[in-house]
Order: sequence, then structure tokens, then C-alpha cells
Amino acid sequence: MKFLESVYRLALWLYPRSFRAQFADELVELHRSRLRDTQRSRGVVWLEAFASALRHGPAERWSALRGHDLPEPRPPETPPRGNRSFQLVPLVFSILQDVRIAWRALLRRPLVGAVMIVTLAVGLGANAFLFGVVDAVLLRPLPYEEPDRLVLIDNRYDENITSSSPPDFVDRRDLAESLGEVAAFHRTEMAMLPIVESGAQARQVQAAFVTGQFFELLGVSPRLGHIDFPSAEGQPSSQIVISYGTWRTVYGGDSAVVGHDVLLDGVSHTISAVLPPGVDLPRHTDIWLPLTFTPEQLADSYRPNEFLTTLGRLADDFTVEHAAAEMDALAQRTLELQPSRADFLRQHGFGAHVEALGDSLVGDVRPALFLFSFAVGAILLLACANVAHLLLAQATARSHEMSVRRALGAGKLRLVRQVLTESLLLSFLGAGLGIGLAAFGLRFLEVLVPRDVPRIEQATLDPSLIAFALALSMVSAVVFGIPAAVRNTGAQGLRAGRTTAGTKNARTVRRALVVVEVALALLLVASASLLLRSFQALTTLDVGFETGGRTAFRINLPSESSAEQILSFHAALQERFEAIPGIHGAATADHLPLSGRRWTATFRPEGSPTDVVPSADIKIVGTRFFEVLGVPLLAGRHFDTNDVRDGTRVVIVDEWTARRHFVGTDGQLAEALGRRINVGDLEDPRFREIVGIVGHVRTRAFDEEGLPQLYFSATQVPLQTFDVVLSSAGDPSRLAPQLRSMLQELNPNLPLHAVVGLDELVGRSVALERFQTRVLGALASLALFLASVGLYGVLAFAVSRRGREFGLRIALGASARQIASSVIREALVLTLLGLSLGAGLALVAVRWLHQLTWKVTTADPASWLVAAMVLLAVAVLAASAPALRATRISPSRALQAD
Amino acid sequence: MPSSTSRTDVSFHLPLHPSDYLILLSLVREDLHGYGILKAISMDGAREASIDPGNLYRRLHKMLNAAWVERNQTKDSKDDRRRSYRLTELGRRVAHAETARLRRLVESQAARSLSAEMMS
Repeated sequence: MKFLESVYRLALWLYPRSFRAQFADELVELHRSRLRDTQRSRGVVWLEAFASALRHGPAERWSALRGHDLPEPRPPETPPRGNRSFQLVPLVFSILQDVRIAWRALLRRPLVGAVMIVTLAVGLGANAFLFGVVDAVLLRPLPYEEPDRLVLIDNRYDENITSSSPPDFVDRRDLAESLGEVAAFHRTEMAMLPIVESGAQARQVQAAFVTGQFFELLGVSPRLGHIDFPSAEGQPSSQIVISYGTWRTVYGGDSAVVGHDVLLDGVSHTISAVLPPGVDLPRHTDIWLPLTFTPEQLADSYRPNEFLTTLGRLADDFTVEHAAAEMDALAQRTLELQPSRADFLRQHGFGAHVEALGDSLVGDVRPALFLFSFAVGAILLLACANVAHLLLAQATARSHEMSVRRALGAGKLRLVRQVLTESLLLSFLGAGLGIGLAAFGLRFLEVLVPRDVPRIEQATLDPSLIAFALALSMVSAVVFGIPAAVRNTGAQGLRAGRTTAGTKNARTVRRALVVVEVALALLLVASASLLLRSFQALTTLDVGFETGGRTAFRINLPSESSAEQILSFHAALQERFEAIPGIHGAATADHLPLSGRRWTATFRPEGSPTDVVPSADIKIVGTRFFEVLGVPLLAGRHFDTNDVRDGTRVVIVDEWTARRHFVGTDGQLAEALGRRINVGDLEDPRFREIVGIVGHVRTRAFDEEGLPQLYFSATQVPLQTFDVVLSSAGDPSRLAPQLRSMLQELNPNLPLHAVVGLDELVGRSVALERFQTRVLGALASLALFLASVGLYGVLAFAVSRRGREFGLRIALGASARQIASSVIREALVLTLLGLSLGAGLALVAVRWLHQLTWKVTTADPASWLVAAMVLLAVAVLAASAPALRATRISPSRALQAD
Repeated sequence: MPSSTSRTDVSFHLPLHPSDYLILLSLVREDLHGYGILKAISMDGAREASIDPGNLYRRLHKMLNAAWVERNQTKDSKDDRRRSYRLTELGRRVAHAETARLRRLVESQAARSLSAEMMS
């Protein structure tokens, strides 16, 4: 077969040209002769030939380059190595041999080896895991066409970012030069009931209304069907587009789904397309519906209704900054179009906010991921430092072996290679285990990481993660292998054959390592304690309402229901639920505080000028809302069933509104009762009368005090979509089956979506903070542990090496206390050095932290002091065992030992 | 290498690379082509003395340049690809020098006591 020979001839190109010209034919002929004389298979013979060319071709090139024509005399450092070179691929063979030696060295001390591998696995695993997360969340491009050119545009009042109105959207679409295509969307929840033969259950879905250009703008084409959404000014359409996830879960991936009908809030729609996986804008959307506007909605008078987000694609040659400047200018232009609001808008710094889509998705998460990256990097460094300690200790123990090998002619490089092979072996084993740990962590990602983190579900064990872990392990191997390698080659011939205590250099290296370890641990512990204090400050706040023992769920009534139907449903629901044993009360509201939903509008106290109009957060609540949520009634009365639709329009305001706009800080709250306001449309002559004053409630976020608050009665403003809150004794989750059947009796088409405790619902608004605090706490504990192990290792080793000195001192009359304190003093000195180094590093590092903390300055002395004290305590603890051992050294034995 | 240097000292080439020495030895008694050299070496020096073919020609390349060996110009074979190699005068002297060096080494006091150790 000529084929193998031709492959070999190709390999001959590895040799320099002049060499090839002289010897190529002879080489081929030689291998043919070998083939004739041997019983081995053709493949093996040519493979050997190939391997030989692979090895010697480049080597010949190299010597040709160096111009060594004479056979240079070489020191006998590499004796002829048997028949090794004639077996298979020699290079691989020699590496394997090194690995075998390393493996044997490892097996000689299996416990130490296991400790090193596990230490590295923890360090590398943490890094691999975080890499998986960062890769999915930050690094991978969004699955849209040129995602870097996509921007989100919102309205802005000073620093507060809000949604936009339909006319704002049209301005941006038609007037902006910096934007190409522009689309608008807003999201809501709907009850979806697929119409299929078998009785399907209604489910609650996240729906997004989007204008016609939306999908073209993203560059998304459907996986099935086609999308033909009307333009913003077009005729409403009943087609919908479903997400890949919905297609799989609801329709089981049925490709005949296009053309199916579904009921959304009771109205029939037709599925026209299925999107490819990964399309998730706005986040967690299950279905997309066309968004069109009526002429009234597009009029200037509609501008106060801000509920849209605008999505745009930057035009060529324009940047986000250009767009931001132009959008601000457009916003100023609208002031002239609405004279009644102009002063208000000017006063509140009305403008526009433009942000790249990618930034807006990961905005909250980015600082946390940076912090974690730093933390896991520090953990890896600590792990490396500890492994370096152990290797150094081994190197000292093996210095005799190394000296003998040097004396026998092993070159420095040969010994360094041996040590680095051992390091690499350890590191790869650690990486293997670490990748396993990371894969385990990624599998339980949903439990570990809050759902709010964008694209987190895409983090999986993939080749890039493995490559990252392996590359990192190689770097680590060099980092922790170098001290031991230097130590070994430092052994000077047989002179080091005597077992001296670790040379001075090695001891300095170990101490420096410990100092760095303490510094890193200080950084992590202090960061964790900062976050913890910040988190505590955040969650122990009085939010103004009770969450314990409260359960909540959401209901969407069919959208064609009449006001009467809705009101009677509410009444029935209230009555039925409160009749369930164990339920103390049932309340309804259009949305709950701290749920992420909000409705903001301007209002005006009667008699005050129309040019200065404050904004307020508004909720529509049922009659028992304040009682069930434990919001105190400070004056007046609750809503009741006498507040009928055509009766006096009533409003309950919070204490802030009353004090700021009616009675002042010292006045009697009751004086505000009976005063009147109008809301939204400031020219509306139908005022609302204040009938009650309640406590202020945190409604937007834990760390945001919010706006004045107004409450309308659900008996006057019928709620088609609303939250129900039940207060009950005992575990509310046990009520779910009972609630479901009761709801089915009231209306069989209603889905009962997740019933969750109000605790949990509210907790979600701080899920990210809680997650950060926990993760950093865990990493800091790990760092503390690793640093203390490092400190312990160094001291224990030093005590064992200084046995003779201690023995002598004891013999000369030193007390146990003096001996022990000399060990502990060393620990303290090292720790203090580490603490000062850490404090220095901290000056740089804390700048990141302030984005993550709340009401706690990063210079918070308590946090730093606590961290330093913890480290000192741990240092003393780590030093105590070696110190004790030092006092027990028997003088006679120590002095005889050498 | 020009002949005027033929009387010059060859000791600065010592010690030889083990492979070079083996190749020179194989050519002492007869001229051989590449494969012949390989076979001679593995027969003579037992299994542990063998040379990788790729390395063989690298060594030969160097020795040709150093004029320790030369190609047989006579067409003793019809096949041009099996040209044989012959030891030059210089090459023979280098091999002599190396042999003498090794002999001195083996007969040294240390080596003798070492082999005495091995006997006992």
C-alpha cells in the first residue's frame, strides 16, 4: 500500500530542504527494508517512521538554524535510553514516563496527594462554575442580529427611569436620525386556555404586546409559521406568537400547532408562529401579541400614560451616546406639546434614558459577577498557595533524593521538568474533580441562583468551560509548582545531602505565601461582612405591612366580563374564601407592594394650581386590603360595600400624602379627611374624596422609599386582573387544593397559578442581594479555612524543623510559655503583615463593593474590624497546636537527633 | 575537512555522542548502507543500543559534513537509493580516540572497584 508511504513522505517535509534532498529516498528505502524484515504490521512500521520524522524533522531544522554542523560533544547527562526510541511515538512515551514517575511520587504519600487534589478541585471547580455562569450571562452574544446595535429607550425624570407613552414611541420611530427601526412593547399576565379536544387546563402566562417591527428589528425569524404583526397604527389582529418553551411544554412540540386557537383572558386568538429557542425579550415571555394604538392613544394628551418600553436599532455610524443626546432633545421638544405639564416636566428633569440592550439585561448582575470572579480567583490563589506549601515541605523532605540525582548528572532543567510534571498531574486531577463539581453545581443552578439573573438557564457544562478549567489548571500548576522547583534545583550537589532545616530562602517563600493568603482572606471576609450588614439593614427594614402567614395568587377574569360580573365575582370570592376554616381574611388588589408591578400617575389637590403636579403610586384595593396586610388605619375609615360605582368617588391616602399636601408635618391627620383630589386627567372636574389615611408602605423596593400613595376602591374600579391575599393560621401552602376547587366552582376556566407566601413573594425582590450575600459568605468561609490551613502548615513545619533549637532552649531553662509564645508570636507577625497588605489591597478593591451595598459604606469600620479580629483569632487557633507541640519537645531527644 | 588537518588533534571531539560512536563502530569492518548500519548496531550492541532511523540520518548528515564518513561513489548497486557509507581516515581516528578514552575510563581505579563490587 503506497498510501502510508506517501503520508510518511509528507512528514519528511518537516526536515530542512537540504537534508531532504540528500536523505529522503534513503529514509524511505530504509523503512521499506525494515518492513521486509519484520513480522510487525505495516501500519505499526510506518507509524513509527512517521513518529520518528515528527520528532527529528523539527529537531534537525533547529540544529540547522543554530548552525551546529560538527557533531558537538555533549555532556553525558542523558545516557542512551535503551530501546525506548524505537517504540511507538517517542515523545508521548517520554512524557508518559515522566507522568508515571510523578504518579508513583503521588502514591507514595496518598493522603497528602488527596489533600492537594481536593484543595485544587475546590479552587478550580469554583472558577469553572463561575466561568459557566459568566459565559452564559455576560459573554455569549444575545441570539439576535447584531445585538450590540440594539438599545432600549425609556423616559427619565431626573434619575428615575420610567416607561414611555405611545406618542413618545412614535416620536422616536419617525423623528430620530440615530435610530433605524424602532418598536415598542409592554408586558402583562394573561390566562391562557389552549383549545384542544381533551380538557386542557388554563394556565397563567407572561404575555408581551409588541408593535409590528419588533421581530424584524431583532432579526428573529420563526421556527414554524410566519409572523405578520400589524404596524402600530394598523388594525388589531388576533394572531399570537408563542415561545419555544411554551411550544414544548403546552403543545409537546407538535409541529401542527400553527393555526391552533387559544383563549387569552377568554378571548379567542390564533397561533401564527413559534419562535426559535433563546428568544426571550422581554424576559420570561411565553406569548407575544400584536400591539396597536387607537388615534386617541397617539394624541399628545395621552403622553402622561407611560407604559411602553421602546426598542431601537442604532443607525449606522451612531453610538448609544448619540442616541441618548438625540432622545433627550426629542423629549425637550414634547414639553411644548403639552403646556399643562410643561412646568412639572421641566421641574422634574424630564428626559430620556438610552441603554444598550445587553447592558440593561445584565445591569444589576454585572457587579455581583465581578465580585464573585474576584472571590473565586482569590480562592484559587489560596488553594495554590496551600498546595505550594505542601510541595515545598515534600521538596525539603526529598532534597536528599534530588541532591543524589544532581550528583548523578541530572540537569537542572530535567529536575524542574520533573517537578512541573508532578504539579501538572496534581493540577489535572484537581481540574477533573473540579469540573465534576462545577457540573454538579450547574445542574442545580435553579436552586442556587435566583431566576432574575438573565440567561442563567443557558449555563451548562460545555467544551469552553472544560477548556477554561484545563487552561486554568495549567497556569495553577506553574504557580504552585515554581517554589518547589526552585527549591529543588537550589540543592547544590551532595552538599545538601545533609539534612539541614529548610534553607532560609524556602522559609522566606513560605512566609510570604502565608502573608498573601491572610491578605486575600481579609479581603473576602471583610467583603462578606459588608454585604451581610448591608443585607441585614435591607431586610430588617419596616416595609409597612405584614408578610408572615399571608398567601397570594393572581387571577385573570375573562376580558369580556362586564363590570357587574366582575363585582359579583369579587363579592363571591371574598365570601367563599373567608368561609374556609383557618382563613382569617381575604383581600384583593390590582397589584401587591414589592411585587415589581406599579402604577404611577399624577394628582392634584383641589384648589392647588395645575402647573405643579406631584406623582403618586396608585393601587386599587378591595375592602379588607389594609386589615389583611396589617397596614395601620391612622384616621377615617376603610373602604366598604357602600362605596358603589355611581356613589361618591373615594380615595384613601397614605400618611405622607396627607402631611405633605394637606396638613403639614405637625397637623392632625384627620383634618385631611373630606379634602378632594383629582388624578391623572387634571382637568377632570370629578374629584375624589379622601375618606381614610393609612401608613406608608414600601411598594417599589426595599431600598426605595417611593412616592406618595393613593388607594382606589375595587368596588368603584372593577378589577379584571388582580392579586388575592389570604391571611391564615398554619401553613398556607396546604390550602392550595381547596382554593383550586373553590375557584373552579366560581369559574371553571380560571387558572390558579402558583400560590406563594407573601414572604417569598416579597423576598424575591431581594433575591439577588440574598444570593450575593450567601455566596460571598460561603467563599469567605472557604478563604478563611484555606488561609488558616496554610498558616497551620507553615507553623507546624517550622516547629518540626526547629525541634533542635526548641530542645536546646528548653534544656537551657526556657519555660513552656516562652516556647509557645515564640511560635504564636510568629503567627501573629505573619497575620499582621497579611492584614496590612490586605488593607492596602482593600483600598483598591472596595470601589467595586459600593455598588452592591446599601446604607453601609464600604469603609464601614465594624466590618473591617470584625474581619481582622476573626483572622487574628483563627491565626492563634492555627498556631496553638504547633505551639503546644513545641513545648513538648524532649530536650535530650532533640539534641541527639542529628 | 581538508587533509592538512588530518594529523591534528581529534580529542576536542570527545566524548562522542553515543549514537555517533555506535555508527562509527559499525562502519569499521565494512561499508554499509543506512539499514545495514541499523542492523549492525542492534546486533552488536544488544537491544539497548539501537538508533531511531530519523536520528541515524541526522547523525550521518553531521558526520558527512565533518568528513568522518563519506558516500561510496562506486555504483556497486543498481539501486541508487541504497548508497553505502564508508569511514574516512579522520573518522577512524576519532573512533580510535573515543575507544581509548572509554578504555581509560573502564580501567580506572573507580571502575575497577565498581566491577569488583558487582562480582561480590
